[in-house]
Amino acid sequence: MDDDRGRRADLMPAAVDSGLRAGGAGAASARSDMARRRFLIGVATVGMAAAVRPQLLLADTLVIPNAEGFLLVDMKKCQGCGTCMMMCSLAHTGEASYSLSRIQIQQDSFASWPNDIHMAQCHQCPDAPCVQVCPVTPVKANKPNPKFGNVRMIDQDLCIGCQMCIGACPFIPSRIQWNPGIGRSQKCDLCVDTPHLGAKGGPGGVQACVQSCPVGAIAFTRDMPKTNTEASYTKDLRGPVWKKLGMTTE
Amino acid sequence: MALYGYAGKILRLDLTNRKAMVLDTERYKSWGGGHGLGAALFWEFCKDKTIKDGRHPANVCCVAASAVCGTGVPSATGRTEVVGVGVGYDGINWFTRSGFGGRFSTMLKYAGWDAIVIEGKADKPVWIDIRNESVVIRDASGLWGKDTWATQLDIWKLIGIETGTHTGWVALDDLKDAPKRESGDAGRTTQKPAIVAIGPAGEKSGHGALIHDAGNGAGQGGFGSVWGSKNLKAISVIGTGSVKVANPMALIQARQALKTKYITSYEAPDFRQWSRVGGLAKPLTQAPIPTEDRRPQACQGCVNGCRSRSNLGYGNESACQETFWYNEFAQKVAKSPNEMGELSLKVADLCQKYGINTFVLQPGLPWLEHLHEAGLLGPGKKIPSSLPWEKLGTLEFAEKFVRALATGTDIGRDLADGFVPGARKWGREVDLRTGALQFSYWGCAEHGYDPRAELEWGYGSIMGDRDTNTHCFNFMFTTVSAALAYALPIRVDAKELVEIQARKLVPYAKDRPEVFDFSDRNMYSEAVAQLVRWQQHYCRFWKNSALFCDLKWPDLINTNTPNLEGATGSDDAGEHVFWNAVTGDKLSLADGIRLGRRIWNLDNAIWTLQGRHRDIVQFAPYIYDTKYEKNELFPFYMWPCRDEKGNWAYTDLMGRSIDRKGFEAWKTTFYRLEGWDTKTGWPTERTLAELDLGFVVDALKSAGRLGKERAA
Amino acid sequence: MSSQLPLPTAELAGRILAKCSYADRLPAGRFTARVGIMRGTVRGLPELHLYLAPDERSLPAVNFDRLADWIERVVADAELANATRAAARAADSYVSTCIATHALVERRLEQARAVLGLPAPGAHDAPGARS
Repeated sequence: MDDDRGRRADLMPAAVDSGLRAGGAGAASARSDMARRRFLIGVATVGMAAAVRPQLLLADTLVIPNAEGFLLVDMKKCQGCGTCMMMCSLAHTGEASYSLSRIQIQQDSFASWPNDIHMAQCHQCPDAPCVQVCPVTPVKANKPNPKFGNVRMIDQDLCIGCQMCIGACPFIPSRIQWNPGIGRSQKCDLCVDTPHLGAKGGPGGVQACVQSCPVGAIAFTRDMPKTNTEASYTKDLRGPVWKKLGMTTE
Repeated sequence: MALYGYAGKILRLDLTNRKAMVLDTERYKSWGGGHGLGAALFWEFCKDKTIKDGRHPANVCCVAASAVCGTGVPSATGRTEVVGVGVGYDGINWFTRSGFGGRFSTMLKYAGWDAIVIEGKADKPVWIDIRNESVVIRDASGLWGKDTWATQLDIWKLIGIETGTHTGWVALDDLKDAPKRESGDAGRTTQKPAIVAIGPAGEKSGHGALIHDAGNGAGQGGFGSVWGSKNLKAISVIGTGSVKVANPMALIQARQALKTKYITSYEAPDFRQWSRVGGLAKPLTQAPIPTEDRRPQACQGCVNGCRSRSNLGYGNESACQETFWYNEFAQKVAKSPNEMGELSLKVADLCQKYGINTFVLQPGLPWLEHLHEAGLLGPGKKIPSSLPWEKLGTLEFAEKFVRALATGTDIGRDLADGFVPGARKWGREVDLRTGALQFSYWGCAEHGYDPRAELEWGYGSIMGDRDTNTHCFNFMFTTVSAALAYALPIRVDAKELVEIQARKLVPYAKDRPEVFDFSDRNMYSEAVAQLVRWQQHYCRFWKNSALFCDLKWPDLINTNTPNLEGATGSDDAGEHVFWNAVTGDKLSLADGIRLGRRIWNLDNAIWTLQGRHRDIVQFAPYIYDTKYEKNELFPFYMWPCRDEKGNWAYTDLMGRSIDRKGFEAWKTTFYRLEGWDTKTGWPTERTLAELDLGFVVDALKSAGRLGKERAA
Repeated sequence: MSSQLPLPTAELAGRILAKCSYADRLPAGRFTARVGIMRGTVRGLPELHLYLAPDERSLPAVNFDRLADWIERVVADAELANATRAAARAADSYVSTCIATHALVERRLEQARAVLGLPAPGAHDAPGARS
């Protein structure tokens, strides 16, 4: 059964997750299916030079080729060390940071396993909403990169900082991050653009999070998961050694 | 010039006047971070360094990260050091230290701070709300009296952070009571504030610990009570920034080298590997965890987590000592291993919530039982107590016992300043002579590594300020003794073990394996003194200041590598490799140890002002007057020793005591090697000058406590 | 060996199941990595049985020579004392001695309960059982 919990409908001006709305309604509150959505225009942009498509009422529907690489996570295995977050931000920017990490590990020390940890990786969505909604023309800032397996990447030189992609991400937390230092959005590129990694990234290459995870709770695959849900992007990565250590492999 | 690794700012809090000030980290960079930084700040801001109780308003408590916190350096990223004058000792409460793991130091760095200096005393309970550069001292009257978990959850609510994990990005500007800003953007996070808090034990007794999240604790030293005396309930920090790293690629590669070369793999694990850093993630919970539905849980950046979270609804993040101290009694009551595990973990939760130092409970409770059984303690007895001793071993007894100690009620009233002061109040000095009260050094609980057997542990503790809790070499005892107990192969023989480790004992004992010989004929030797120096100096910098975790470092020998050499000091994954990758420094392992010596000497200067003299550097009487009996306990305490022909073998160290004269001679040797006045133990002007500590000379001179140079 | 122990008398069975005085306690301990050796006490064979129960996290700390003497002196069960001495001699490691002695004591407790018509204590839970 697909887990719809991670998806939400966004009817606000594209800003940030709906968790920021007045009242702070949590993720658990009911969300309508996002099969049909409309984005409202009305977002100010900063220092905009590139053209934006006028009078967008409906997102243009582009044909977006599928990505050729995906991250799978095992939320029951993660030890919550945050190493993936720090290595991700280091590999991309040379600075260690939670907020600049393109994979987010969220924890609640007072919650019970397995709900004490949530791993939030980019799904490299088919028909990626973040790509669909990018208003920059003639070339989108957020788009699949055919040189690197159609990984959905945000070109920082083209991004105008409108943050519509952040709002378009169907998951909570949004898999797109806002970098206030440079006024741009950023996202997981499967380590294509990682000048500090010391290895070739992208599909077929190294991902900093996969490489660095001390317990092997993150894996790379070329096979697109069956459905675009958190459940489908979650995999049991534990195995007999885990069992021998006294922990469940279910 | 870029300051790599450091956030660049230190927060200085004046609780008396409710002021928050900013210091420039660059001025203190030479101290590294953690303990060194904290000791330097203590020296600068504590106006009366002669105080002997951490609850004195002149005490200054420093909470410090290091350059590597928040960067991903393995098993260092998440540690935090706390220093100041402690509480709960016997006689003089020394300037002391404690540490805790988790994610506080990481978040502190991302908020833009390297350390926090806490001075004065607030007139009413307060908590500190740090959100990036914004620091607000808030009223804690609604939190005072609450346990540490309730306090943290309440603060999340006060700030406007949801519980649970499937939460969205939060803009700091949108949180409750967010500071108004003219321009810019405070950034966003998906993380919860990292909070360290005190519970009732810190508010009402001398046994207070600092607790962070569910199970990270700074227990020894009584810093929870220090905060309580300042009316400080909690510090919360949330940060959206980053830490610049000098050579990120080198850091990433060193981390990868550590993982692939020094740590056993999940694909083909060696469950019986000998190393410190090289095992799999495994909770150090000391009772069976009654479920398989759990995960290992780690401090930020750790290579193999030592805690756990499960689906039980109790026991999250508790491990090691807090899950051990009650077991001797619980196992007599529990009807099954699962019930035993449940009891142990629920008792640990109690202690986390009360925020109590569990180290004192471990030898303390058996001693109290002894008094009760002797007819001295109980209802209507000489030591009145209404604790239900007939229910010893149950959760009910544990709750009442911990509450009594935490709140200073029942027997907790007389024990509020410490167990040994309490024993003196009750006229029970005899128990320190017989060993019925196993508090071996400075009124601190014996750890489980008896000073009569494991010399570097006892000597390091008594020459310092507390139970040393430095496991650098201790794995030799546990690993070899366990192997013998199970009749498992001894993977490395004694000679090879000491020789491999000795290669890394720069600068004092390189290639001097005799420093490990704890045989009777060597126990008061210069060689053992060098080992103790190495350990204390290494730890003062690499572990207490740079903040590499005591559970994983140093890694001197490692059976995961082809040549058995450990990661410590290695060119690919040594401590200095990580430090230099982050900071851009060019330190060697030995450079760090020399820095540790400097920090250790600053500590000794503070102890000297507090009243230290070699005459009071003494173990509890039972260490001299009774033997560590082979008969009573575990049949062997194995350690590498040489025989009279110089041949190495694992040898049983049970059955001896420390000889007073031998120890006095050893002390003299230690002082001489340290460059301290052998008559007093005080630092000399020449040593202080050598270590660039000339600034402490005047204070010691004014106090009439500057050491004299003596002929060797 | 344990099956060769004759059934105890009712009087001996009572002592086998009893908790002894604090003064008659057997000093014992627990050995675990990271925490070390901590002292404890054993006050009777039922507590000894618990102490010696296999546990992968820690080892019981018991001196088996002294244990046999204690069984003879405090419990006054010479047959069990001799059986534990023999088990210790036959075992090839300390842990094997613990396991063998645990089995001996367990059998002896069962015999004592049978003689006195007492029920067995609750069965041990399997790992993963919830309370």
